[in-house]
Amino acid sequence: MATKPPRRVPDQAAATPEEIAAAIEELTPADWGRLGKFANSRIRLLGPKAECEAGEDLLQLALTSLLEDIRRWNKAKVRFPDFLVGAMRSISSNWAKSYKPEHVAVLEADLRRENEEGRIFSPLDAVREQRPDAEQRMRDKQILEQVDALFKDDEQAQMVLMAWQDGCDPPAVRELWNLSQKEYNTVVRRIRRQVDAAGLMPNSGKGKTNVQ
Amino acid sequence: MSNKKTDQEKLDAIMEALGDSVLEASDDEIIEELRLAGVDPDAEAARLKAKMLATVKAFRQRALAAAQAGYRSRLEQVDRKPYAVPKTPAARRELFSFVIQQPQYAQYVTAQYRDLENLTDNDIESYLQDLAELGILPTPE
Repeated sequence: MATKPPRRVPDQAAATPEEIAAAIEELTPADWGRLGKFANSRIRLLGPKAECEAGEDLLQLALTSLLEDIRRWNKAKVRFPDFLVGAMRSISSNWAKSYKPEHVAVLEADLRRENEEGRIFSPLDAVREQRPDAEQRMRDKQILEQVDALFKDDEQAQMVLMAWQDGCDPPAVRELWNLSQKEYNTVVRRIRRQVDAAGLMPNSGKGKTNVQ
Repeated sequence: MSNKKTDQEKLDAIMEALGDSVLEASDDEIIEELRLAGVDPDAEAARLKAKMLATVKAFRQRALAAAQAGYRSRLEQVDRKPYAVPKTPAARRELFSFVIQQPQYAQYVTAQYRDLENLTDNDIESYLQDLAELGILPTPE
């Protein structure tokens, strides 16, 4: 079944700069904290694919895209923080899709060719996008080991982490391990705080690595 | 269960779930976690709010400056634009008569201008110049 593209918010429903400023004024410290933590998580998730270094730069880009009418916010239908979260998710996903690694192995130069239009290409171009380099793979492995070590004595945390790694969403995790909403929230909060406290940030390519 | 996934995929899944979990966390939890991380929630909120409001203000100033530049440019174009107003009073009256009978120009013609016989040649010339500046009259080849 074909998927319809998202419908653009009509002119009359789109928030004006004045309304956007008013919405910013209304955000609470908890809203800012939540937005900042979410933004940081997206930057951590993307690592070298992120096109900015800090979470608040991503938040700023979400706002700029709104002001420049690249995105529109229908204030009658969507809360402002939810709009910003959606915009940050979309922007960061686009970065991941369009990511091209900058560094190329020296020996690969031998494989490079020029096509009829004069464009230089490598047979490895398509492969490279899908595959982290050795340094990155090593770093990912280390972080996973550190996460495991953090929760080696916390069986519930291990269960939740394992389910996440398999791509389960929160309802699926709760069903899989027969956890109540409250139990799940408690475990997730514990994981989040310990990962934060340990500074496990797989942000390898932007000079802000917290993992040694 | 997760043997087929690479370490990167496993780690991405954990980080994505942790990021999304923040959206479900209560306000109290968020505030507490900021404090645990050594962040003053009120000061951080004030800093981010000021930064975002400054972005909105800068955008509005840029938009205003662009609108002003556009307006100046249009004025200059009007000044430079050659009028398509005929040279003789008879030709001007003929053209004006044609214009006021066109339904698409009705919005530009007030009632007083529809009484052609009471208009002086100067009235007609002046009104045709206004229409030309509005770009309603064709530009001469």
